[in-house]
Amino acid sequence: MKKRFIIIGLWFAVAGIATAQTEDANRILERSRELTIADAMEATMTLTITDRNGSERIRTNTMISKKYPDGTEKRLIRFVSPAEVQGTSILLHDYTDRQDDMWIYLPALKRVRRIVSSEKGKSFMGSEFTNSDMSSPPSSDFNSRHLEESGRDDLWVIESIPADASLVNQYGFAKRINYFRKENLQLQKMEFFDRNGVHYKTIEVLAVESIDSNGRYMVSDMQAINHQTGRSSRMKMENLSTSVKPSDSLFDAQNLDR
Amino acid sequence: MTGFIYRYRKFIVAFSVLLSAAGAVLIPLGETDPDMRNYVPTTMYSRATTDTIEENFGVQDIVMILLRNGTVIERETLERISLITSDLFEVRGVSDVLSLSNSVRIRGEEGFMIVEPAVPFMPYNDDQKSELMAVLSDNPLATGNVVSEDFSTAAIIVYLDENMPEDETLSSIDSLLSAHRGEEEIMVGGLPYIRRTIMKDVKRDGIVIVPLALIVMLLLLWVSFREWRGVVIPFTVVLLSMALAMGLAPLLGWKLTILSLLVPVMMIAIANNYGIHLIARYQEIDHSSDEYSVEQIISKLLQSLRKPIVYTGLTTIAGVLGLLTHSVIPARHVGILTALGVGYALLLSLLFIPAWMSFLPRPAKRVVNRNGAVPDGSSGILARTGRFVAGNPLSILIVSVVLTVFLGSGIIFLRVDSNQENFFPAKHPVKKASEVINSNFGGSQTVSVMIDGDILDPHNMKVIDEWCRMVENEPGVGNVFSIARVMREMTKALFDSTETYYNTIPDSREALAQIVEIYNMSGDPDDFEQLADLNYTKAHLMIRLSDPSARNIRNVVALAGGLEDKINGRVVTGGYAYIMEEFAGKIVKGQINSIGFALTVIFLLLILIFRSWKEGLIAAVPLIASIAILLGIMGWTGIALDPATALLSSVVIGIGIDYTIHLIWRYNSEATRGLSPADAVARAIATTGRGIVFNALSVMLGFSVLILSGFTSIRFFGYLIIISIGVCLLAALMMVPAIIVLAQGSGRRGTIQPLPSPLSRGAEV
Repeated sequence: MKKRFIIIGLWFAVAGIATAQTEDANRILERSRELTIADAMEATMTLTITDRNGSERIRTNTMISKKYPDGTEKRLIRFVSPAEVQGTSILLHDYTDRQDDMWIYLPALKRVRRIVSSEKGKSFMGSEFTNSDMSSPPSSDFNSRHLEESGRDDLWVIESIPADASLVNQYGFAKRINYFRKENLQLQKMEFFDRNGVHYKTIEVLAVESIDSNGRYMVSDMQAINHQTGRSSRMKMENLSTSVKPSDSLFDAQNLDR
Repeated sequence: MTGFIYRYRKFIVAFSVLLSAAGAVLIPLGETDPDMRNYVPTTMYSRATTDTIEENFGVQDIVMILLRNGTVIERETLERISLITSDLFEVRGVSDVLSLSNSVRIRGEEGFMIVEPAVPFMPYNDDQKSELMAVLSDNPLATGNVVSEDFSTAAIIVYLDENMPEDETLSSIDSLLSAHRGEEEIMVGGLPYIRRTIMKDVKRDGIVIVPLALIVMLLLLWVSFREWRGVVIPFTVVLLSMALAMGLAPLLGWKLTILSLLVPVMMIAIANNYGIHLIARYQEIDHSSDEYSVEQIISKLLQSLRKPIVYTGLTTIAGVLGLLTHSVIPARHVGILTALGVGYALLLSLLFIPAWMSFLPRPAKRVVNRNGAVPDGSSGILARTGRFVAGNPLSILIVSVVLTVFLGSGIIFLRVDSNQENFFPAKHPVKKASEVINSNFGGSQTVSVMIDGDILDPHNMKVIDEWCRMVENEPGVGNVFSIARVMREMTKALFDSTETYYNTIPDSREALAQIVEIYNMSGDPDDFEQLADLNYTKAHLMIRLSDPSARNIRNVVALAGGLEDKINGRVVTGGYAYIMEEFAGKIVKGQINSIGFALTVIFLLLILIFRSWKEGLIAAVPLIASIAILLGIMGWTGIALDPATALLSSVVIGIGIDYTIHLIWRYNSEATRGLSPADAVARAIATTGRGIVFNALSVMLGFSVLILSGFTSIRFFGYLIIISIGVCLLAALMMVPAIIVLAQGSGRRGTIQPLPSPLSRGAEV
């Protein structure tokens, strides 16, 4: 099943076959998702990874992405700091109908290399965020419903379960619970559970940035905590913009070393 | 003393039973600790360094599942591996799984870096099988890691989540594997598995061996004494003292190890010794006259045996306390528990047994031996032995010395072994799995080297690379994993083989940083966690050993020491294999210390007991001979000193001295009566020899059940202690009397002055 990239760190089960039981839940997911969709975006991202001993690795990079009518996402990430990795770049073409294309550029070796991989990296840039955290899967992949506490404390609490075992393998979790603020449908928190029902990871939204007066927003600060390894990753966005109009040549591998 | 016992006899019996019952209640609270690492003190250098490395890089406990067949490059086998792998991911407590089904091949080709599955297709015919083998042979990430070079064995490497209960995870893995049985032989290895097997086998041994030892003891007591009190009384002392000794372990917060098994067996073997002597003597006094009342018999019994029993008890305690000088923590625990148990058995023998006997009438009929005679020492094999020894002291001494020197000379071949894998016999599944891992997958035991410095400094990276490649060619070294190896693999993927950077360590810090960054981004965060820390201030070199012998480990550790001169940073060397190597050294040191301690204390005790340094020296002879023979036989037969067999000498010293003490004591009393040394010796062998033989036989039979243990070294312990006690027995009955006769002159009256004690009167029966 093909994954598609949308805006940073959020993904939602799209409302699928509407049944009386899941209609509400799916509608909330869909409405919330619409609030975060943008055709292009640009940001400076600081990714801080903290291990169980409290050591930190901090990477800053710029990120720009563009969505095409056929569903293809193109994304360019360039390292800004630390100095020794400055200029290192990754270009990704994420297609809906075939294997991804990926190129890397290593300035110290003046090297552009195309990577052909049938493997999908589980982790996003070596962090606790996964690539599937960054994608929007087809709605039919999940069954979603309100949990009992949904509606209390100004929160919608919605559980999503992959529709079959192969989807569990693909997404790497067996259950996810999303928490949305009732008043504006902004995402607050996601909890991930493995096949044994163990809650292994939590992603918390720490800050959002408003895009327009219609309630559209972008997550600008969030943290993923892996309860099993004790590691955590924080992704902070600055200079966020969804009004950017990047040229196609920016996503051309020929220009990666410029 | 008899008056005291009669006054408080009810209290003595009740208190003893209650105290032991309290101990028995505590026994089920005992926990098992199968981790050999906890056998060594935390202050031991390699354990402290290993803890430091593990704080930074986590515990590398892996389970290895091995599938063997003529060739594993068969569609059915590969599909089974794939099924097992995906099911393993679903097992709670499994954090990661690596096998042929999810390994990758990374290569560079015509401007591409290609990452593809290690098994890109399923082979349907022989051509495809050959093609797949060629692909795998060319993939260092697969060959020697998840498939053997000869393709006879495939490995599934399972990483465990250290926060989950290991036992549950391993049980789930077991049931998963039985659900996927095929044509292939499946074996499982790795330290977590070894630990669990040890736990299981310790429990099995406890359930089988201890009751069996008790049954053997009951039979022996019946054969020896042919009356119920001779069976029940010493046996009760065994049960009571064993209950207290074993109950003390959980009370003191000590966990059970494979060595703990020795405590109940030792209690069974030792605790009835005093009771046996008391019963033998009771029968002797009982037969000597019909006029004595029970109280008179008990009084005579205690008069004659109180001191030798106290002395033999004290020497046994001193012997086993020699274990306190060991660095091996469970050995110290065994020493303390056994010493306390023996001390309690001693008190029970001196108070509880007479108190109990005071309630019993005299036996209705006399006990007779096989010849129909009462056991008064006038006939039978012991009497003949006594006369033979008294008549041929020089020949006996010469034969003894020659035998001791010959057998003892094997000591030069004595070797030390602390490898946990060797606890198991050759056919044990754990042992077989370990052998396959060692010969095909780079080994299951590791030396870890942590470099604390700037890892991305090209100088450091090159030093690490050169060092790892050099160590890989050292004897006994299997696979070596390091960040430098990753760096080389990455340059092989980033550049074509014709380019300069291909398979090199780049010269600039930026190049290293960027390559690492790319690797880091493309993989699982856990992959890299074991090789370097987040900011590349520490690197971890893992040296897996295909032959974890002490010499090979020492070699790698020494080479790691040399690394410090070349690298800009600090080098910390640790790892399980290193702990075990240092542990082996501690075993030898502990052995020397405990022998030295026990011999010294016992020699001093002997001088005090006999008030004569000469007799002290004579009494020490059997010990020295039996220790020499014990270590010599171990050398000749190739049985190594290991955590279990290292306990032997202390135990032998503690138990073996008893026979000599009883013999010399009786000799002195006979000599005091005016017998010549030769006659006194013959008389001592014929009389107290009976108790000594029963005593030694009970110890040997008690320990003989250890031969049924699941652990090789415990079995060896059983064999060796039987031999050693046998040597002590022969030495006490032949060598010591021979020396006495030679030292005193066979024709003259005894000149060794015994202690003025009631023993002399007691011996006149």
